[in-house]
Amino acid sequence: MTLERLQLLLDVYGCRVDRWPPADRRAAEALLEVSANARTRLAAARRLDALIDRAVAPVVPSQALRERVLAIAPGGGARARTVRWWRSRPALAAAAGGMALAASLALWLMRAPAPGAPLGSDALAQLGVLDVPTDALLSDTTLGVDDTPVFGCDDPALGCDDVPAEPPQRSGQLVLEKEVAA
Amino acid sequence: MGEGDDHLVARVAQADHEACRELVDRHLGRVVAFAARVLGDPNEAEDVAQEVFTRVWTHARSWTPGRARFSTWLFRVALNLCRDRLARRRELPFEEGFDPADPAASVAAQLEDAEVSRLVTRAVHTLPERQRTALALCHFEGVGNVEAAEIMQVSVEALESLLARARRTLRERLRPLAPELLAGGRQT
Repeated sequence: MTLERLQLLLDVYGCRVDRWPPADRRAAEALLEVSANARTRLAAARRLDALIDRAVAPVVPSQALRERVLAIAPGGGARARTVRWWRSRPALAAAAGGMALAASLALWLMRAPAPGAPLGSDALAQLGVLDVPTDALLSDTTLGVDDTPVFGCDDPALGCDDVPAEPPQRSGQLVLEKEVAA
Repeated sequence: MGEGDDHLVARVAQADHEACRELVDRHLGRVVAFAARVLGDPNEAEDVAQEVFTRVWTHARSWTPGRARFSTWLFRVALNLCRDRLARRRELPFEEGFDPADPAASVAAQLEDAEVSRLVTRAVHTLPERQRTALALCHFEGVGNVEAAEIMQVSVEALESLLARARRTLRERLRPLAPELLAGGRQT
């Protein structure tokens, strides 16, 4: 065992000699008995390990985590979920709200006026009669599919007698008439 | 020592809730502690631990006894989940949060214990991920080198190299913090 080998073991395993390979452990113990330098190195490694151990202790698992993990575990998840459902404040609030809504609806139905006598046959017949013949708007068939609707009005009584009464010609038709005239 | 992990996992596969409870009692704390060391965040560590046990419950039926140690598999799953999370966030470089060369804050004797703990924790956390993981497994969790190498899926030699580099780095970083604690540590 050399000092370099000892330092390597200290760097790898730290000062906990019980973690060292057995053969190295025995050789190191022999070296430590005779070498002050070796003992200094071991002491330094102990100080370093002690300092590393001062790193903040890791967190202990919370009870909530333990419950979450066991809630989804085989054989007990459903029971745990049921327990948690009853313990859940939002679930309780939702349940209370639902019951209140159902009670309000029942009360409203009980206090609503009873329906009157059934409608007579005359009243029922009136329901199918339309006063406004909306389909009359579609009954004017004087316009052909190629006709252009009249824009403006030609009624002098309405003050628009200067508007040409004839519908404007389509541009294609106008061009054709000009060509014929020429 | 009670029932072996393999038997417990077999009982978990039979939906034995008591076995689930015993596995949780036995391993939840170690998984949370390990994840907290690797991630440096207790809340994320709990999330990782929950995900680890979700996988235990899911894969219990397909567990083959004797093929690997259950704890090895558990730590490996935890490590992979931690690495996924580390990959999604950018780790702060060491110098941003802690300047060990600052003489005004370099002597442990002048600092409160809590402050020393905080600085050491930060020094550990700012090690490269693989060195930090090796240290968390071997130094803090007491996992043997062979099993730690298996968890990290590296050779034992590579693991020992990671451990040695981690301790040398910490020795250098913590020397300004606690020179009296590290007296004699310069021989390398």
